[in-house]
Amino acid sequence: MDIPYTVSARPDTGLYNGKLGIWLFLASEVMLFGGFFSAYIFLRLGAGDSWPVHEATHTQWSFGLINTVVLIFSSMTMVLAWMCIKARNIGKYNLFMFITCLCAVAFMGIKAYEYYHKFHYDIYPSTSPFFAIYFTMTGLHGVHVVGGAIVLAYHWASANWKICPGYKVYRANPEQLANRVECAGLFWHLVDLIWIFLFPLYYLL
Amino acid sequence: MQWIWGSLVKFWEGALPRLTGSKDSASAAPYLAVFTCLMIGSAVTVGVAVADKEYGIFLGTSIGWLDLTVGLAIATVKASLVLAFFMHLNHEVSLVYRILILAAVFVFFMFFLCILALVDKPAHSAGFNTDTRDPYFWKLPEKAKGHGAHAEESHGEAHGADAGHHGAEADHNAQPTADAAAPISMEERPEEVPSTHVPAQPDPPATEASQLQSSPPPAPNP
Repeated sequence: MDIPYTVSARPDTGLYNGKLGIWLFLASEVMLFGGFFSAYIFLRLGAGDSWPVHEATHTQWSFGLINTVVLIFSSMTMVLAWMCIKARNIGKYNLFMFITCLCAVAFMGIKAYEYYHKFHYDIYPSTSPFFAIYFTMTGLHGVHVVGGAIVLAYHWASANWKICPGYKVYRANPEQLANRVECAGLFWHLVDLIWIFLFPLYYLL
Repeated sequence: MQWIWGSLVKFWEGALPRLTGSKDSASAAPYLAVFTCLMIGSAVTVGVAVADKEYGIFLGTSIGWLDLTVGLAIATVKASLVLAFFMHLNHEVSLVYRILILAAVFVFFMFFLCILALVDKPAHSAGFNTDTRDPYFWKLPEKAKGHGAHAEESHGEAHGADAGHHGAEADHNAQPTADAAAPISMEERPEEVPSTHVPAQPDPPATEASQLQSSPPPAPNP
């Protein structure tokens, strides 16, 4: 039995099912991070003078800028990978997916170093409200990066390895894999969007 | 704006086939143009923040609100570029627009609620007072004595918000000597403690177990 509308658009929505599903999920993610941004606003405005100045936040804008460049670059390679699989150019698709996953690993590596740097100075989420919301938001964002990278790696494997369950989908209907990649790409762009807003709030104050 | 965008796209349409050796790669030109704009936006954001904070070039000293305003404004522009081009929202069905507008309305309403909650602040402190050793944490107006009985049991922050709510009215009638109109800092607050102050509790007495060990039980009566 086949799931309908994985490739063709439903007449009532005008979209294939996966795309509507992922947009609904992204709307819920916007609510999730919206709640945390509201917490940031509340904590920062309520703290008044006790909010740390930039020097006391132990954040280096150079690391934040590198992370921003890495994520935006990975967003671009993600959409280029989708273009390539739509055109059935699997060689280029593999290259761009590899670069996207590599950027995810690089991002998490830099984040891990930043966290280590803070723990080294005995700075934990319990240290102050600033660090509580900093670790919460960047940690949750990091979890999203890791989850997105795992899904991207699965779709990368789906086009290449027979042992991957998604390979059957690719052989039977490559357009369905292209749609899966598009949905994963939408999630990846949302992760990038969230970082675009996190960066000025925590690194530039 | 249109001219900048057009020239960026034309630049990448010419450069990409030369870089990759394939004529088809020119169709990726819009994505490269967006990437260029995002990089420029990031550079401007960081440049303004560093120039203001570390060098103070705008007014000779650091302007706090400038970095955040410029940063968030540029972040909004970057976000719209990602939404429009990378996420293909520039030609999407109206159902998706309606879903996203609904989410955006609720998020901005949430921001508004948080800012609204912070408007009701105590008149004489910078934020919510949650320090239970501070006598002003327990300070209540004389007429609200009924609430004083609950002061010890109620949760600190809820009480702080309560005291804050009454504090604005208390300033007018409970402080004959203090100037209620001009807010005073924590260093300037009066040394004497209001009558509703709960004194610091002494160390709790030794427990029954240690008392039993230290003093032998009384001898039973014959």
